[in-house]
Amino acid sequence: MTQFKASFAPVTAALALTFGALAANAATIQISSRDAAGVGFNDPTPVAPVGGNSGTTLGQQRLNVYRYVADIWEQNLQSNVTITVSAGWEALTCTSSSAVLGSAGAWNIWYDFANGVPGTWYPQALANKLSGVNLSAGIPDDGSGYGTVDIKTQFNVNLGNTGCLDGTPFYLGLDGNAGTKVNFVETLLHELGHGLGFSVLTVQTSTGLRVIADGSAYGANGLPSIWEGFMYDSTVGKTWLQMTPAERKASAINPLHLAWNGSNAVTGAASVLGNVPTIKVTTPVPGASGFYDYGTASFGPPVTTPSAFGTLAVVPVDPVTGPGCVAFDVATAAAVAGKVAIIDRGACTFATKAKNAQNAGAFGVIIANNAAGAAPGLGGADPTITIPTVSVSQADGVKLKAAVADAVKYGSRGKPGSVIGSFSVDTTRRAGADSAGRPLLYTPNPLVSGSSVSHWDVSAFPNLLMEPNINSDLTTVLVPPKDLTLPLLKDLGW
Amino acid sequence: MFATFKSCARSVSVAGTGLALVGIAALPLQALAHDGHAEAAKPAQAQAPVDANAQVVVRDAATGQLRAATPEEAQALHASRAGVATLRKSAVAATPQARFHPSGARGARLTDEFMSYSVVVRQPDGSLATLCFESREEADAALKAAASPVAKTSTLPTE
Repeated sequence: MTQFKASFAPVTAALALTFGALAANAATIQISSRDAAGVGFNDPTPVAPVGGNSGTTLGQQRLNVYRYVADIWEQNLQSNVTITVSAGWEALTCTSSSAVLGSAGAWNIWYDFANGVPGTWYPQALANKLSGVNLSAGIPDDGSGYGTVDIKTQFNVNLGNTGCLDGTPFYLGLDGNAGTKVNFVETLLHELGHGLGFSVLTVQTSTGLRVIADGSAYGANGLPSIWEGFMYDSTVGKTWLQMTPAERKASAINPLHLAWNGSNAVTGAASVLGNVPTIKVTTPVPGASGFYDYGTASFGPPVTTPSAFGTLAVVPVDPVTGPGCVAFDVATAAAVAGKVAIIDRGACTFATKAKNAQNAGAFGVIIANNAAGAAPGLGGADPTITIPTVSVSQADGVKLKAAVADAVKYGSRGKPGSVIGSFSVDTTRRAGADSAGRPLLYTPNPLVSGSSVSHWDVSAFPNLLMEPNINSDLTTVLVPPKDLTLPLLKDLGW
Repeated sequence: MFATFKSCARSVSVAGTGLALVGIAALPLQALAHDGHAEAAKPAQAQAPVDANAQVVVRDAATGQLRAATPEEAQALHASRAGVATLRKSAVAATPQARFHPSGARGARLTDEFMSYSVVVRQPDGSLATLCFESREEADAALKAAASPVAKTSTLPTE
């Protein structure tokens, strides 16, 4: 009996938590159109049903995708307060080969509401869910017609027309078979994720400043966003909550060292993220064996893991023509024939170096970066390149070249020591997570396209919905073992 | 609503037509749907042709006489009105607005500066690269870079 009493309180607490969770209903998402008659959602242009979208007009198909994506979010979120989304189709910036697809975000934000962290900005949809009331109820519209909504979205009404990514419109099917078109389901799913809270939102990452209490500007005395307590920088050992604006600014460009430490996402990462693909190096040279991260190339055959790579050899730097930039001389060709050529980055294209190595009989190429940072992705094109090419960081390049130079003396007269690489995985690390298993946020330095701490790092594998690149292999599943979107939102309070 | 709208009839010049639209006798209620916050989940209502019953007169540039507007002229008028309305709303939403709740909660209505922007760029091999940015400036810069001769080759470095 005593034991029962002793255990009663925790059981009650557990039941209360369970009922508390059940008490919140599946979310309801209401989409409201800003479009004029005949435009956007109201475009009467006849179209054939496509990919499970049964709409027979362009406007109807657009609306069907919105509803389809909203339904996905509804199935994943709980809230007793209706989530409101204002949607419009507008003429956004375009060229014939590029375009702004659209934009979205939280349109209202709140702090100091019931059940929220005091003095902390939240997106309205989440603030409403936590407080159990519509905080904007009763507030007069600002004249825009959508001033009190949770999320504002707009997408490019001209996409696919002449002068706006010519001939490539949104794919409005629901089956993911976008082909050469722009998958609107994934684009909208991603952007609504930002509007629901997948965003640092009120922090200006270029300065580290936060939105101040009246919402009018960024300032040194601004309030933190709910995101910041989960952003942990392993270099300085602080979350963004504990940082100065200057520290936050630096952290936003601290590659592979800013991670999400929320328990749901960390737990989910263990089942979602695969092991890190690496070059496994084996050599008698002390300290050189181990795993080396690599970047892939847009030319040549894709890397297969696991697979052999080969014995490494070094291409010397020619002070006049650059490293590997012209046809290899006899000595260099002899050194790399049948081996993997390590070539420094610089002076000519990656593809040129790879082609010269291939012509000399190399079986593969490693481009050693010539600047600090992670192993870069290798752009370029040459359909005649048939050997695999990868990159390593500058530091790893230095280490591998030194190992190749030292290896000979660690062998025998009949069999000189060597450095052998193979494509493998590092089972101690997850692709897209730090050494503690925390999923990484995107913080490239220098800033590059898509730089944003409001995304997962691009090193995540398999690809995640909320990476800056909206990849073609995404699904509409938001939970482990497929994705980490919902675990992060749950860390925030969803 | 109908009477109010009639009283708001005004002259609007339409560039490129050579005509001056001098009055609007009537517009159907559906024509106002875009000014409000019409629920998109009701496509049948939202898709009703806006000018189906409109009576629009224009002054013919050649004769100087009033006459009924052609469908194209009526559509141009409607587009012009929609553009004006959009501009007006954009101006309203250009600056943040403080929010207050009786519970003591405080908030703000944000602006487009806080939106995330997705951008697509066609690669040299014909494939599409889709990227999400956290500001309009970054998105515009990406488009500008994509349009430059240097960056047209790829979003990845090539050397």
